[in-house]
Amino acid sequence: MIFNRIHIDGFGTWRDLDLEELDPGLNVLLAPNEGGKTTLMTFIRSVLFGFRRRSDPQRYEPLRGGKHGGHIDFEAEGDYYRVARSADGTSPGSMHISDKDGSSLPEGKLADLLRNTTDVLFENVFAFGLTELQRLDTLQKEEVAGHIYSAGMASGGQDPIGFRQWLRKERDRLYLPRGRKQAVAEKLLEIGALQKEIDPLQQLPEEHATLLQQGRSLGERLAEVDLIIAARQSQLDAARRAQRAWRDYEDLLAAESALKALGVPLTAAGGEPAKTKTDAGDGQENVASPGTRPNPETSDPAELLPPSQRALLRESGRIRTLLAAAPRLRELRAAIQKGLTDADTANVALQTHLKDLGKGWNAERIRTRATGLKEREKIRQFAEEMRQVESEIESISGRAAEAHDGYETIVARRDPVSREAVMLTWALAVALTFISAVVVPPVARLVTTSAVGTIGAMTGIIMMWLRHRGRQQMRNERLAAADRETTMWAQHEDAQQSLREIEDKWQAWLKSQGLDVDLGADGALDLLDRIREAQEQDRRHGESSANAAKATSELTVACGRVNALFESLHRDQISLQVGLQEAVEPLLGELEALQAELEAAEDQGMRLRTVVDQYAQARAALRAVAGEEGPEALRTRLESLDPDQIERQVQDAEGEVAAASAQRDGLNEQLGGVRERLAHLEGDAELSDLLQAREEKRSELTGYLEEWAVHTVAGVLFDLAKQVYEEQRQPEVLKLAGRYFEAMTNGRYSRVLAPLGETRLEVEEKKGGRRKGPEALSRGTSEQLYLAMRLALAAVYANQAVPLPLVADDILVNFDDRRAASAATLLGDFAAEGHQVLAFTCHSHLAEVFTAQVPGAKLILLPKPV
Amino acid sequence: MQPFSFLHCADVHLGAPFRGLTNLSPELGAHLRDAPVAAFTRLVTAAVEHKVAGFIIAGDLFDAADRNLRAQIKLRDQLVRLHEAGISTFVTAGNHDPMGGWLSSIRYPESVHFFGSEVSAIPLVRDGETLAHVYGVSFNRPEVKENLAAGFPVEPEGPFSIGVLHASVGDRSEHAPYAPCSLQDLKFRRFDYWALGHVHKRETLHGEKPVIHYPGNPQGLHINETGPRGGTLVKVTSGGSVSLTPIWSDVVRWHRLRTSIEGVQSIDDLLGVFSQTASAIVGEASECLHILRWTLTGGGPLHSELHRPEAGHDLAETLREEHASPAEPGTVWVEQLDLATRAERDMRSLREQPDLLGDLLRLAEEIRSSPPAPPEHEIGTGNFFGLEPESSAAVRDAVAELLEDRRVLAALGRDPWTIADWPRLIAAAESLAIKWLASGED
Repeated sequence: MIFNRIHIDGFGTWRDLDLEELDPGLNVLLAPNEGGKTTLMTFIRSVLFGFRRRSDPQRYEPLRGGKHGGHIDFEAEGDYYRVARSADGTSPGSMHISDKDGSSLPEGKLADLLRNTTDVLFENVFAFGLTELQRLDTLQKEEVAGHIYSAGMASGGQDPIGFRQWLRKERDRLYLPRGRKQAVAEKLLEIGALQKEIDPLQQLPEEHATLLQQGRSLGERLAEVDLIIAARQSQLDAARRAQRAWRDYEDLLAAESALKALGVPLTAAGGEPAKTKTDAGDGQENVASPGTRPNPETSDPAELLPPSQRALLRESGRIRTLLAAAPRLRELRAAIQKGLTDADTANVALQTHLKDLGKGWNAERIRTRATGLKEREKIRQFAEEMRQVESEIESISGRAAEAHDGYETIVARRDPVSREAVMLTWALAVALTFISAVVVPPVARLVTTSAVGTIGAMTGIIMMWLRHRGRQQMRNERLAAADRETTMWAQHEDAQQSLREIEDKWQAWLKSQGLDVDLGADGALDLLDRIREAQEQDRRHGESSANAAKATSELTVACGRVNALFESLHRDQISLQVGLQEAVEPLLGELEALQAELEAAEDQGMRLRTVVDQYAQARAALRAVAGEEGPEALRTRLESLDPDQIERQVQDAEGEVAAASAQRDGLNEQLGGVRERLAHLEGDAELSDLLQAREEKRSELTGYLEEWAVHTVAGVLFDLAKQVYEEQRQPEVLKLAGRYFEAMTNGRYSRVLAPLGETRLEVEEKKGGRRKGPEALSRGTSEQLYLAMRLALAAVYANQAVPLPLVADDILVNFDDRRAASAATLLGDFAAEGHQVLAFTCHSHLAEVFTAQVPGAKLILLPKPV
Repeated sequence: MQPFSFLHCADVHLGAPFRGLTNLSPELGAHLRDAPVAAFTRLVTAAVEHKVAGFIIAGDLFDAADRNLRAQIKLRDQLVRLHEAGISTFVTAGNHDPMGGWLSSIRYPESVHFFGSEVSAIPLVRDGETLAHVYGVSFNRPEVKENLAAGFPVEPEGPFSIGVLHASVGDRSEHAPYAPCSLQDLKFRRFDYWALGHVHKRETLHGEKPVIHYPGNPQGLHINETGPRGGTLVKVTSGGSVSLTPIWSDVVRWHRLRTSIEGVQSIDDLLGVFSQTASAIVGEASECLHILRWTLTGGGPLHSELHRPEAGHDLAETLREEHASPAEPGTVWVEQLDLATRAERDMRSLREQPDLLGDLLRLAEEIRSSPPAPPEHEIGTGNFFGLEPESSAAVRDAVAELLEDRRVLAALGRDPWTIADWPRLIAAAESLAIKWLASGED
């Protein structure tokens, strides 16, 4: 788009301004201050894009009359056009576009020709003054910035900056060099913690070795302590033995002393050939040969008594037996006296009885006379038989008298059935027959009458038979009574005969007995009684005499025995000649004296036995207590001790044993602990587990490291790619801007670039490649940068969309001469490339710079506004 | 000469923890903890069952740095078993269990022979007859850089000679170059068998006299020790010829699985793929607990779903619940799920675009082709000669901020630069950049 002519009807201070034949290249418009340069610039923009709002000072209502607006004639795409803008009551005013022939064109034609360039873009890129040049933000508007930064950054408009930030964030999340909260740091801490657990476990081998050593040394110490304990225990045992033996030892001493008192040598009492101090002092050597030494446990200590006592003890059985018979002796003595007395008494009574029995009776006859039960029974038998026969005779006599009386009675008795009775019966039968013939009705009369008659007749017959039979019976009874009486008398006779026979037998028996045949039964019995009385006295006499004789004999034997005992004891015998009965008491007295001696001997024996027993027991007890030490050694030891000393020894030894045992227990406990710990160490899997756990953590750490490394590698790759991009893929705008900037700064700066993904600019010094942002540049240099940016944008826009005239207002004022010249040259070159430039200035020297540097530049002196 | 056999193992690392695992359940933790001991126990059991004459341990029986008493007690228990079975044990110390690292407090059976820091020979005797001479040498410090093979005689004593050596034989950049020696150093000496240790991967360097053999380690300890692990049963015939039989002893077996999501339409399909693989793995060794790292690669419709936040974690949890709940022998426990998938877009076209992302991806490619070396390893790299691209240097310098942090070094217990797996890091960074900077589809 080339402006050929600009005409203002009325716009701000301008009225009817007409700028004709504008150069398609560089136009330098010189106007003094307040010369309406800015108004003219605004006019161009307003014609193309519309008036500003009414409140906007840049609306530039006409101050000096004329219609608000004007037109611009321009050439575009080979054709000529006019665009006019005038106020029509609306804010932007009305636009009219027409072709070179004046034909109106649709309103949209302008936008087409402008390639939809916006007001903002135009204002910031194509129409700018010093103010805009000093402010970067005028290039940051979206429409503009898009042209600078976005091109070629990434395909599809992804978010590279977001990616870089995310990588950094992820990386920082995992690790920061001195961070403590990051994943890697936490893992390091965890591993550190595990390591702290592992470290002591890895010292276990040392502990193991130390423990083994400890165990060995403890074992050795235990063995030593065991030896000490054994020694102390042995001492304690000896002391306790002494303690236990003390009593027996005292008993032994007592027994020995008693034996001595009893006069028994110790050897005889079963003792060893003692070597006690006392014995040694006495110089006695009671040596008994082992073969003859009596065994105190089995031999009789009585052997140790004097012979007389031993003899007594030997005869003790006899002495006691004889003494036990003392009552018997006394009984025998009494029995002899009684027997003699009784015999005398019985003899006197016998003589009396013999005299009473009469002549012919003497002791011999009496002794041969049987008076026993048999004879008495015989006598009673005879008496009984005679009494029975007499009683029978009497009874038969009575019954014969009764039989006679019976006969007489039968003879006197009458006929039992009388004649009158027979007659009466017959009469009654006839009467009844008659009555029945009259009274009974005729029908039954025949029968009844005949029946009554028959009955009556039969009754009479019976009565007649009865009378006949009664007479027969009476006859028979008389005959029987007579027979009975006869029989009775015959029996009476037989009884009389029997009585006589019995009396004969009685007399015969008396005779056979040598007794008086006239004696009755009672008399005979009485005689027998008296004989018997005599016999009794005779027997008593004999018996008593015999008793006395027997006792005498027995006593004689007993006394003989006592004397025999005395004899065996070599004692004087008692004379039995003086009479047995008188000898009994002295004999017994001697015996009792003997018994007293015996008891004394027995007591002595008993005492001896006790002492010997005590001696043996004490010796056995000592032997038992002494054990391996031996009784002699023990005794020797005891002799030098007393119970207090022993007690002290026991206590001391006990204390030592207890102390040593406690030491042993302590050592055992320590050893147990060591062994337990060793077993634990050897089987402990904790280290293995921890090592595995540490490996796990290390794996996790490795995972984080890898993740971090991936992000880091990605970050490095991104940064490198960005660098490549920034170096090789900057937008065309920046490349061009760099070239323009380099030209304007006379080669001080070589590049203008926008860091990747950022909407800011940096410049790079040609020498050293140092980059700096615009804020680091001087005012002039930064204005040069922004000028370069605008030129570049304009150029690129021309290529991409449409070339638009560049309207610049006094942009060189802050440049030094050299750079101003360079800038002028650049603008000239830029214009020469087909970009129309309208450069306003109020400084004639700057206008001269332009004209000097750009020979083809057209200088236009703006008229003073009316 | 009497035929006999011996068992050769190395690098048992008793008591060493498993590396690179997280989120272990207590049961799984306990199982892993005891795994090296269990593996060693299996070897001892095999030795007893095969009635071997000798048991040779070529270094790194445990990790001395761990100072794990329990591990050494367990070791002693197993050595006692060998002793009771009448088997002589020959032990050399390696870089992880140098001579000073053995606990003096533990008494080992008299049939256990420890080699010193000078080469010595110990006869292997059975029933009064010398079957072989076993030569060996131990590390007397963790970092032995000299050639220990040089100390072995050229003409060893018979009737059969075994050299026990913990060493890095040949050019092995992936292993610390301790006691380095060449294959020729070993071949030159007229041994019948070289029992090597240090390299954890089973390998026979020379199959004929002298047989030179690494049995590998009895138990893989991390994801880089995949596949079956164990020791070697060496049978020697009366003629002196040698046959090697692997004795697998691992109780935990590591696996890597890579699956492309190309054409996979749903997560269920993906799970199905996993189930098939898991069954196959368990079928091979049901007595082992299997630990697997699954890497999903390629581009496909599942990519965006898999890259949802927490999606990877959720998927891994699902797999653990389905296949290893509880984690025990005969199950497959997913240790890690690596999502290395990409969207179905053409990286090349993205890289060629003349924009920021294009620039970034081109730079990434540049670094990938010339990855940065850690600072102390600069010698011998392009950087030293000033040939390293600026981009690589910039990446290294940036990462150094953390990886050079002394606290990290202390906590990790190893060189933090080992985590700088550049291709992985760069791929992940690219993925992030594409997500943020690429327009359109994703």
